[in-house]
Amino acid sequence: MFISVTCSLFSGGFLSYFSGFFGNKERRILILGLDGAGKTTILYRLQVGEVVTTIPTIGFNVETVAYKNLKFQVWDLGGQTSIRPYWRCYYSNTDAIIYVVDSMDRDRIGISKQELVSMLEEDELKKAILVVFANKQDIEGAMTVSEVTSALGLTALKNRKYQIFKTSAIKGEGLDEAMEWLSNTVLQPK
Amino acid sequence: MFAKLKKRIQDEGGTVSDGEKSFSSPSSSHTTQRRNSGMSDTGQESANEETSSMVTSPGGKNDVSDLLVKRTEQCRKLETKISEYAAVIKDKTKTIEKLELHLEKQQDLSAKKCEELNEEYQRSRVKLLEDHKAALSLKEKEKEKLLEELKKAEEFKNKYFKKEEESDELEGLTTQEMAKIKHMLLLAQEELSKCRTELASSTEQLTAANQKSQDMTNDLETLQEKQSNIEKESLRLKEENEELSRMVKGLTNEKSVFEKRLDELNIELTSKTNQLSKTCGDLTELENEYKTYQRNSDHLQNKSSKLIDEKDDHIKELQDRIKMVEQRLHAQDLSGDDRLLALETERDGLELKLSETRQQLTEIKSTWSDKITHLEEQISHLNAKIIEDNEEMISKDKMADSMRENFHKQMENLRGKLEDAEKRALENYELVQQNEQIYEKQKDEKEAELSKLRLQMVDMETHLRGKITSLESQLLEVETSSKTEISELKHKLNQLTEKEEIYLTNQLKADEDLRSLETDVTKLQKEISELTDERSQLKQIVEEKTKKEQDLVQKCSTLEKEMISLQDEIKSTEHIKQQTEIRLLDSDKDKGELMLRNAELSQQLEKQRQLTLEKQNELASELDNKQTQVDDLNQHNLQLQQQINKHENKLEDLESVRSQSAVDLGRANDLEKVVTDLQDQLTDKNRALKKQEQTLKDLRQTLQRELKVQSLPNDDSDRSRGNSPLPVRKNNKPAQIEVKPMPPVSASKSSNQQPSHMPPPSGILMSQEDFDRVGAFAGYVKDKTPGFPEREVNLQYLKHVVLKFMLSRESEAIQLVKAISVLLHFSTEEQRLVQQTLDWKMSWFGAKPAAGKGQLSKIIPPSY
Repeated sequence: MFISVTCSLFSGGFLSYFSGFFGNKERRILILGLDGAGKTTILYRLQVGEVVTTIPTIGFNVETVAYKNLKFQVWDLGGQTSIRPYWRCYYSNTDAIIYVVDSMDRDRIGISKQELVSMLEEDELKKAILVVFANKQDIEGAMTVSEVTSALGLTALKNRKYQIFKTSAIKGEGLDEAMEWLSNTVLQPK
Repeated sequence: MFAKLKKRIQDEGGTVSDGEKSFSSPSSSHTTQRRNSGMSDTGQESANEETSSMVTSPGGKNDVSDLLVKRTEQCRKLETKISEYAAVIKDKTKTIEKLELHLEKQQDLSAKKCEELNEEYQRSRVKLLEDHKAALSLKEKEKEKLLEELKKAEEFKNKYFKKEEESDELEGLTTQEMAKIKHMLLLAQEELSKCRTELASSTEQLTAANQKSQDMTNDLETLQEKQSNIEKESLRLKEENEELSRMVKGLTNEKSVFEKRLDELNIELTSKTNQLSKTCGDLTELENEYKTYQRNSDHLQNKSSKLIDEKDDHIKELQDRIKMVEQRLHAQDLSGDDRLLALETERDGLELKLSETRQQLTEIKSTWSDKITHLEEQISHLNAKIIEDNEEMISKDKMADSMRENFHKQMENLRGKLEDAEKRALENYELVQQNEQIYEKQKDEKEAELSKLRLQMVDMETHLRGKITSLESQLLEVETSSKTEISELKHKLNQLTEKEEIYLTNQLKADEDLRSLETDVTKLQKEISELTDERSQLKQIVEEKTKKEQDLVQKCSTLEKEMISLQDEIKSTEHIKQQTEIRLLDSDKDKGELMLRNAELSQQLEKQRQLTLEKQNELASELDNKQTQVDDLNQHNLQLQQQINKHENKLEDLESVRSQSAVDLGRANDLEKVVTDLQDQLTDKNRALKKQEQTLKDLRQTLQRELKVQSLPNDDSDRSRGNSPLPVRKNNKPAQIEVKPMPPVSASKSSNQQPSHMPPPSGILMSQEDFDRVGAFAGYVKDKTPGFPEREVNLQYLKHVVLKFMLSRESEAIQLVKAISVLLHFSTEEQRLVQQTLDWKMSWFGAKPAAGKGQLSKIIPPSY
């Protein structure tokens, strides 16, 4: 029992203590969005740099993504209707939110807006930076960035650092710019 | 339940039997009866028992009979009681039958009511359904219509957008064209301005060129004047040059004359030097001869002195001999001893003589050796003389060489001068040639002289060598003669002394001659020095003149060069003039061309302006047309918007209708709920009835058994009825604690989830089989019906999160506490406990959070 306790101390507390002491603090990022928007693909594109085959996420995926000198603990939460309410369980200590929108899904953009608005009303996310990915821009006929911006009502946002990027997780376009902006904004004093 | 009852009954029976064993012989019926009576009214029983126990203890026959009487009385009493009880049982059975009848009636009534209610409900439902269907179909039709209208409106919208886009594009195009035309205009204006500037610049260039040409003509005139001046100067210089050349000619002639004189003087000098050298040579010869004579005289003097000494010695010897002979003569006169003594003395004397002679010999030898050394010295002297002669020769050679070198230098100078003269003036060339010839002649002469001198030197050498040989031979002769002449020296001494006197006189004469010769030599040397001075002066004069000549020639050449350069300048200026004239012509041409171009450009400009004006007009007309189109479209749009508004109003109406229908649906749902509630009540009642029936059956069975075994089974039925509520309650318990369908979110989120938590309409469709399971599985059955896939998703989600929570480290897992507590509906206390436990696990120190004890403990207690 005593050994197990010490082991747990070393495995958990000790390392986290030292990692906090020496290295940069890990920034916590949530990737949110409706189901099928491409959140998991974006997560693994950011981490591995490759397009991986994904299945609908029932639950969540957590990966550590290093960008420049920063370390991000990126949480990709499942976006299905029934498990969307559990998002709020992960809001505490979040530095930034990547909100992924399927630019081809004109029918559900309204739902996406509702989810975004209700999410941003949470107290725990008051200081979180918002990055919106207008994803699937590689498909023809996708909504433009300005269309997505107006559909999500981003212009009405106040007291929030936010930016929208047009991305394609499949082709890897726009992700670098977004991460660049995000890392710069995260480093700025609040 | 009944089994337990029976057990209890058996147990109680057992205990009773055990109790009865203390009695000796009571019948089993008695015991059961007593027990039953004891169970029914214990007070009385206990009293009876006490009395019986009290009675049994004392033994006696009277007592027994009394007891029997009492017992029979008691039996009678009991039998009456039994009959009473039987009557009661009968009444009870009657009441039971009545109750059963009641029950049956109630059942029938309830069934009828149920059927009626069902029928009513079905009717109402059918009616409602029909109404709904009709309303729905109507609404659907309206909806379709509205959708079609919407589609049309959307099409209109799309068309309108397209037209707007087209109009935007046209506007863009027109603006672009306008911009292009403006750009063209600007370009044309720029070109015009450029042309103007070019024209201005060209005219400026022209004026500048004209000014330049005027300046150039002025320059030309000045240059021509300069040229004429320069030509005059050149003429003057030429004249001066000619004069100078004449002067040069005169000077060269003088120079030649002087050179001739010089040559003559040189020749004279050389001749005099030759004479001098000859006289010098004679002098030296004479000196040599004088020296030889002196030496010979010395030799002879020495020889004579030696001879005199020898003679003295000879005389001394002879005197000694004479003394010896006199002593011998004395000795011969003496006796033997005396003779011996005399002989000894003689011998001593002879020995002394011998030693003396030996000494003399050695002296002679030394003198000879001295002589030989003297001779050798003489030879060395002669050799030194020869060397001196050679040195003299060499010095003369050197003198000749230096002379030659001087001549060569002079020649080279003269040649240089000649060349210079050739370069400067062709006229001097001939004179120079003559001079060269003269110099060559002189050279030849000097060479000849040189050769002569060399020959003389050779002769001298041979002469000296012959002298040397003769002296050597003389030496030899002297050596030989000295030996022979020693004897003759006595005779010759007188003669020699005479000769000495003669030689002395001769010497004096020779000295006089030498002095005279020396004076001559000095005179000649003075003359030579004078001549050399004259020569140097002449040379200096010549050099000065040549320098002057060179200067003049240089001046001539510089003047000629200046002339040539001036002529070149004139030519170049003429060239420049021609070029400027050509440029003037070209610039005039360019000016004309530029003027033409300017005119063309202005024409083009005008054309372009016209074109642009036309285009602008066209574009304006187009713009107007498009604006009218746009206006039309706007109007159309307004109309469409109005239509859309209408449609929207309609839609709103429809939605209100729909909401009404939803309200209707809600009512229907309420009714359904009522029905289900009633059904539930029915089922409950049915269940209760069944259970009652079962209990009744059991009671009957037990009663029958008891009745069979005993005659009084009434107590049992009461007992069993008293216990019956317990199992019923137990059966009902799971139904009361049924798992609620977990609302996964708090109240704020529940609005989104409303459709999923609607009461299940399938409740109506539940079959009779389901009714059996309803009690225990109502919640799960409801959730697992196909209308609710969220439940399964939630379970999957829960599984995923819990798995991750369990497999992650504490620092990561702590982030999932909230999610899990939401999913599993943890209380805040439980959530806090989990959080604290994780914190404790991660931290180094701190107390373990309290997790309850005993049954309430939330952790597995550690095994240490």
